[in-house]
Amino acid sequence: MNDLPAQISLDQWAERYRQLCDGGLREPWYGGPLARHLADGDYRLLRLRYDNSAAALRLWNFLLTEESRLFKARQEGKKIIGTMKDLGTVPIMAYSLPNAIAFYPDGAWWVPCIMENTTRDLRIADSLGIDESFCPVRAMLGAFVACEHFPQPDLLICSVGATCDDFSAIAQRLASVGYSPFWWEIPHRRRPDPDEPAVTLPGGFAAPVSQVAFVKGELQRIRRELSTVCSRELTDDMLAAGIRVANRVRGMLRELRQLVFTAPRCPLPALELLIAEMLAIHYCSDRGETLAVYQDLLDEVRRRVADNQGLFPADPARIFWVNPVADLRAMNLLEECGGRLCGTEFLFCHALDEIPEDVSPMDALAQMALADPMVGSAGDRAMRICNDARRLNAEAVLISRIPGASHCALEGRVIREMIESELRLPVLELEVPPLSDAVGPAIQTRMQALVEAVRQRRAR
Amino acid sequence: MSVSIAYLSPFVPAEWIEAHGLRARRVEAEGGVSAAAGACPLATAFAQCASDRDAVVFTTTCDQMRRMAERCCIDPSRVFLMNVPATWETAGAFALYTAELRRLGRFMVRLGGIAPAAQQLATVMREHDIARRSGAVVVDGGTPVAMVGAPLRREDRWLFDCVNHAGGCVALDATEGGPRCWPAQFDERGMAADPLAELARKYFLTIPDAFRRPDTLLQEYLQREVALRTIRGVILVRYLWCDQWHAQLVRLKESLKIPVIEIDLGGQDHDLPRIRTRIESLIGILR
Ligand code: SF4
Ligand code: SF4
Repeated sequence: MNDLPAQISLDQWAERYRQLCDGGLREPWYGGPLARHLADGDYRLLRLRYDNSAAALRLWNFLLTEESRLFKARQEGKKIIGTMKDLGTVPIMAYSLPNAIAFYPDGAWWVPCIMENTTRDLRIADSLGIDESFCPVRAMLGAFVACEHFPQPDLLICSVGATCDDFSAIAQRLASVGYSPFWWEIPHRRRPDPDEPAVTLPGGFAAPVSQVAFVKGELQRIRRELSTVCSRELTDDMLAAGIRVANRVRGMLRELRQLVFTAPRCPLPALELLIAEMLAIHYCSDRGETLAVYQDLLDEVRRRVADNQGLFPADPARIFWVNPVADLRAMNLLEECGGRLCGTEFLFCHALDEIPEDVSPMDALAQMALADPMVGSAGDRAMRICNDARRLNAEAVLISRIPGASHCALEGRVIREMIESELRLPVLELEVPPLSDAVGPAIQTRMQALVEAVRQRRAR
Repeated sequence: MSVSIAYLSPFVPAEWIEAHGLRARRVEAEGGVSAAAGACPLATAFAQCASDRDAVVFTTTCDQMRRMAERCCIDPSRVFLMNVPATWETAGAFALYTAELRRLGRFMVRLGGIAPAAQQLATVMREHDIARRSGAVVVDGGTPVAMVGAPLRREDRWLFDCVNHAGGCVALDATEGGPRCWPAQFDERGMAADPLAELARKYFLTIPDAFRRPDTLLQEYLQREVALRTIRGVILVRYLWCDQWHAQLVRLKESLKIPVIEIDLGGQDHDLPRIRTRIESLIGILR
């Protein structure tokens, strides 16, 4: 069997799957050929290119079976906690309880893409007044109302305050049609005054002690609510254990990212890395399995790096990617245009940082929540991106704008200006719609121009 | 001459600024049409207008305004970004708002203001209360409609004339800056006990707005006022890219059960005839 890394189509996966099975592939219960997900309406899979490893197959199968996992958990009597917007903090609390499972309804963000607009979600959102001037997360509203894609949660927990207007408005609309989110406040993270007691947060930002205390108070409210809904007291010990597992997950992902970004030959495509990063936010509804998926990916990537195997022709342009992309196909496009990922900031870098274990669990979680790049200033976020891009030897930065997102217009400009002035790197700002086929050639041309700019700089 | 503090949000109490001996200047924004795609023209206009003031207070009441604080061309030491919690039903949120007022106070002291004695603050509060209650507008004639939404820029004031010319009258001005955004009347006992706490209570716990979570204060206010004034239709004014108010459109149609039209502000001048026609049509239907 040829085990050299390659990107293959969904059709090619059929043959590859047979090869892997013949070679003794062992799969978890959610395993199987990738093409079977077409029957669920995941038509975008036909347009994507995939890494050909068994580890990547497991990753994709894990991602695409979340819905059935959630329904299974419900049947088993687990409490389903819908966590909204905070990206990373509340799921750690929920998973610390033995009878709870957390997921992000926000994940419906990708439904219009994956299912190629074949669902009712967007039409329902439109009818409720949440039209395409909002970010693609509006699909979540339709998904709730249509009772599709996930079971109705036992508890919905939504952060507001220093969040995007899109999400806040959509969550309120959800409340107006009969859902009752448990609102909690995440304040705008500000720089501490000169004489004010301050804390350095995971990831390096600073925040006043008073803000950490406030967020801790908010998380205490969530803790009480979770304890009530799950009929189990959520103790400090349980939370500390939950944080330890989260740190294991994050540690594995950090190593994976480091290898992918820095190996001389790219050992994992951008698309698979994006999906791997997403798992860290809420474990794709199965914490233990997330660790196993990461382990497989790490083993594969370590092996490829040790054997100096990789994808793509020689020396692709090293691109740092900012913001998640509404159409997964865009990640493939970057590589088809001669680029490779050398760093990412998909809006949730706080969900990848190590959580402190030398303070009380609630303090640690409060610090983590405040470290969210989206709750601070665009300048802070831009600075972190600059530092990471410098450290990872980026040759260019691509900022993918999210259609309708309230933060993109101003934030994109701040990030661009800082990168241009501090790093003097080419920057491309690009809006990618959930289905980019119609504008694909234009996106491709602009990505090619970015790669060309990198090549010209190398030649100088 | 004392320092003047520019602000726009109704959650910045003018009483608190004036009690510090500074001038409170609620900016009537203008311009902002050249806002970047995706940027709210109102937030852009406010940042532009505030750029030549002594100091400016932005609020975190929406994402666009929060981020605009970074783009204001003024010495950053003269920009104050005030955290106004979106949640309002918890003791923690109220305490945060009060703490932010105190932090604003320290900011003003750095600019030359003087921390007020309780009595002094109470006096200013009483003066503002009287001024607010004495400004009742009498409206009669024409089909009663409500104007609801974001604050109007100077160049958007023609909307009121447009309503009148079409045979209507704005019997409820629920745009930001109108009575919707006034705090409830201060309580004498509350002021005697702790004027700052009373100020925070009335501002934070009674002003309805679209960004608040939940937004029940806004819904209750509109239902009450629409019934009281026998309002027949609603003109929802919303700036391009404003999610908070845009999301209210269908919501208000459902809850108020009267015709609601949405007017997009901050676009191009050639949109104006279309806006006029839509207002005329609404009032024509309601007559
Ligand atoms: S992509 Fe941006 S606008 Fe959309 S929900 Fe996420 S943070 Fe909000
Ligand atoms: S109009 Fe809307 S987006 Fe603009 S500042 Fe007001 S609330 Fe924010």
